[in-house]
Amino acid sequence: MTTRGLTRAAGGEPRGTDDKDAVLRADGVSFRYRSATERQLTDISFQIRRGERVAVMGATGAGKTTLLMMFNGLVPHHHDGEMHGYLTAVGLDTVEHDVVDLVRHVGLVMQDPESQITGRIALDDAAVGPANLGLPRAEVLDRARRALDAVGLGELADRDTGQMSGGQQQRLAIAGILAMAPEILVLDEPTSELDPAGTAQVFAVVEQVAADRDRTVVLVEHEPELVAQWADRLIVLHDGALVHDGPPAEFFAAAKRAEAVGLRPPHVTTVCHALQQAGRLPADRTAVTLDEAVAMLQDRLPVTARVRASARAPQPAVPADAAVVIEATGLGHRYPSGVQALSDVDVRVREGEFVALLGRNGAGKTTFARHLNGLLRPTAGQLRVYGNPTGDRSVSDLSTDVGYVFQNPDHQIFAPTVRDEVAFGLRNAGWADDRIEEKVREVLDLVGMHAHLDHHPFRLGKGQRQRLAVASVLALEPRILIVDEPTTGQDWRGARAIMDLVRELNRAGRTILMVTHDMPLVAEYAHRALVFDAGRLRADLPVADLFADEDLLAGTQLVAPQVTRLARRLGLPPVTTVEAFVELWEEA
Amino acid sequence: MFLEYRPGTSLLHRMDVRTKLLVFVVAVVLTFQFAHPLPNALLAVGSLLLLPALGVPRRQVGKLLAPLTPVVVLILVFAALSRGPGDFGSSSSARVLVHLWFGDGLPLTVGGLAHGTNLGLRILTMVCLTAALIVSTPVEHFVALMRMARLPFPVVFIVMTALRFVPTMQHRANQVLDAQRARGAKIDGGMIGAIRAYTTIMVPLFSTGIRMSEELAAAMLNRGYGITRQPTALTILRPTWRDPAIAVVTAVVVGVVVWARLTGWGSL
Repeated sequence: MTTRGLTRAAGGEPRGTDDKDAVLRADGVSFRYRSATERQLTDISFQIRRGERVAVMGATGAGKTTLLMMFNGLVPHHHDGEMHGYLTAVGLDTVEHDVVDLVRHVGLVMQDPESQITGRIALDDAAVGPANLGLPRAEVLDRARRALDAVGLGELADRDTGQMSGGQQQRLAIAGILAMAPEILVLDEPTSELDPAGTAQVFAVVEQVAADRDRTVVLVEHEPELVAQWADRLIVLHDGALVHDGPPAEFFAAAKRAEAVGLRPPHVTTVCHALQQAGRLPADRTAVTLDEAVAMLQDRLPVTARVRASARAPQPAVPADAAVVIEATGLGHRYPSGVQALSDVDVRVREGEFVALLGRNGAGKTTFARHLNGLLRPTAGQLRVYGNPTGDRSVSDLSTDVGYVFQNPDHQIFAPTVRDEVAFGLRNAGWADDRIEEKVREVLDLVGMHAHLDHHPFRLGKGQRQRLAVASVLALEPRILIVDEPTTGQDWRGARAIMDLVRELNRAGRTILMVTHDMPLVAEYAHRALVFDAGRLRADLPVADLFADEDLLAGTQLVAPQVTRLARRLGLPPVTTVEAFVELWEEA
Repeated sequence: MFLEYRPGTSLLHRMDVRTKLLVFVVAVVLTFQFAHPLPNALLAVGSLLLLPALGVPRRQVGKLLAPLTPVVVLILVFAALSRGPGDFGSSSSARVLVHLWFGDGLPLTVGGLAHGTNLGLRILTMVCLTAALIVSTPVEHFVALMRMARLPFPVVFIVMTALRFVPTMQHRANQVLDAQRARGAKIDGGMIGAIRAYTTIMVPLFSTGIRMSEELAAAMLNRGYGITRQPTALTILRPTWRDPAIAVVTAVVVGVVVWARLTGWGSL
């Protein structure tokens, strides 16, 4: 453990009033990482009492993770730098006490469960913490079993951790921390990479853990609907400063304020705000949860709106005679391991469509997408792209027709400059140097990154690296673009920026297929949904119809956007966007 | 494809890791005891058959052995030709089968051929036995053994983590490979292509690998790594009646081999 270079501004006593029940207390805390020039956190003060449920929100780079790592001393003991002010956890000063003291009281669950799991089977992994505490073997195993029970994995104690789903792995990571019996549980975006079913499982666990009023829970979460539903209190960071500390409702009620710091208010709050603007709702009435919104809007519902149950039929996004660019007939894929990942998929996609590929993890949507550029070959049936079977073409040949943007841009970025990264595909395709330069500039203009031509890709932020990945795929001029989870790990603004870019590409005539778990994005951007379930194409329908079909949603563990659920609870047609909801109200 | 532990109920699975290591060491020593290829061939075939018996699919066995083939062939050829007729005491071994070069150049002797064959079979035996050991023994048992041997915990932890992250890194490598292929990288195209592809794969793999190791370090601290020098051992090795029995059988085999050597059996 290093405390090298660990400094704290001298002098001054902890300021602020003393609260006996405060378990976490920050007094004027600032921190600058050793390698950084700017402070990551600036003058943060708050007190969190025992048993509180606190959500922390903020855009990417706002300092959320740094703040959480301060609670158990990872900052400044493991990641060192310059710290000012005082932070205490259960009365222990986090500078004077080392990580090994603090972790007995503060348990931190980090974002990526895959890199936190060290045991081969679940029970052994959950036991790592108590074993490190040096407890007797029987007690270690007992604690591990109880922790697994608490997260609903009791039945899977002997399961190979590598075989678990993302939701199960995340719950296992939580169990690993619970087994150490911390008074304060801190979770960093536990649901950011999970499908809706996995998110629901993890949140159920968080709910249950937080029900113990002796335990304090602090959670970083980017879904405002979940935060509004769950938290007693919301702390918002913006550029390292604390800009809100109070009930979530108070923060979201001022919609403009949320947007100013790069956060999206819950759908229902946006609805209320829009209705206020239209003069349909008094300025002082708003809601942050679905139940509140239903209760408030029920009585104000214009009578005519109830009767107008028929939504206008959505216009088809592309003409019915547009060319078929993708045609699958009886498409099936069996992996060498024997798993039948895809069976009997029949589907036709026309030029210019924007299609969402949906389904829980392992449903077959990514397996389907990987056939389109030849990364996988059909083991049954046939897939034609522009009329030609993909089986006859190599991946590099197909890459000029079908571009595939992967979820994590860091899996592909290797070049020392942005220019070289974009030129990679073109060099592979054997373009001449002068044409390459011209094309590189053209696509960087298209994604709004021309200023970064000579920058090192790893100096860019996550959102820009994602754009770079898109640019490097676009360079090959594919007319079909597959985007795999384009918004994972992005904040609201980053997600919007990348989605707006994808929409522009679609409007310019490209066919888009998007793999995603984010239903509000699907509602807002896609026209058509292919819903996969257990390797089969369960449904192929317009997005509006998907969210109107409750049985289909329940059967495939998808969740409609909050605004759709609000409309349904009010007995209105199942509109899928806030704009459509307000329009409906207006018409009434 | 790296080999991983496969749960099962075979005798090998139920053996104590210490007994397995004893048998493993004895088998390896045995391969050096015979100059005649026949006993070595028996050992090699026996070890090879262990793998399907442990439930390893034939395709995976093929993948394991395919990269070895050129190595084994080269060793066999070089070793066979490295011995001339003058290197052998017995006339049967010194008998020249054929001269591979003009005149009396590059004589291939019976003894040389046997020598080369033995080397090849030894490699095959050791690879198959190592695979069988890995496939039938969960990491926890190796860890328990290392801790019984009182290795410092940091060393045990490094080995444990390295083994745990092999499949994860392999998964990441495949993701990187797919991402580059999707941009038209011709990964399997010739020597130059392979070397050029190397940077395009290794850079992203290293950068994600380093990030992951940092996260792992933080995650371990979160779970109290370093609070005690010797964390509680979770796996306890429990030998059954089979283990002493197998040890006795192994000892008998060793006795028989020593006796055979003394009587001159298995030599050339």
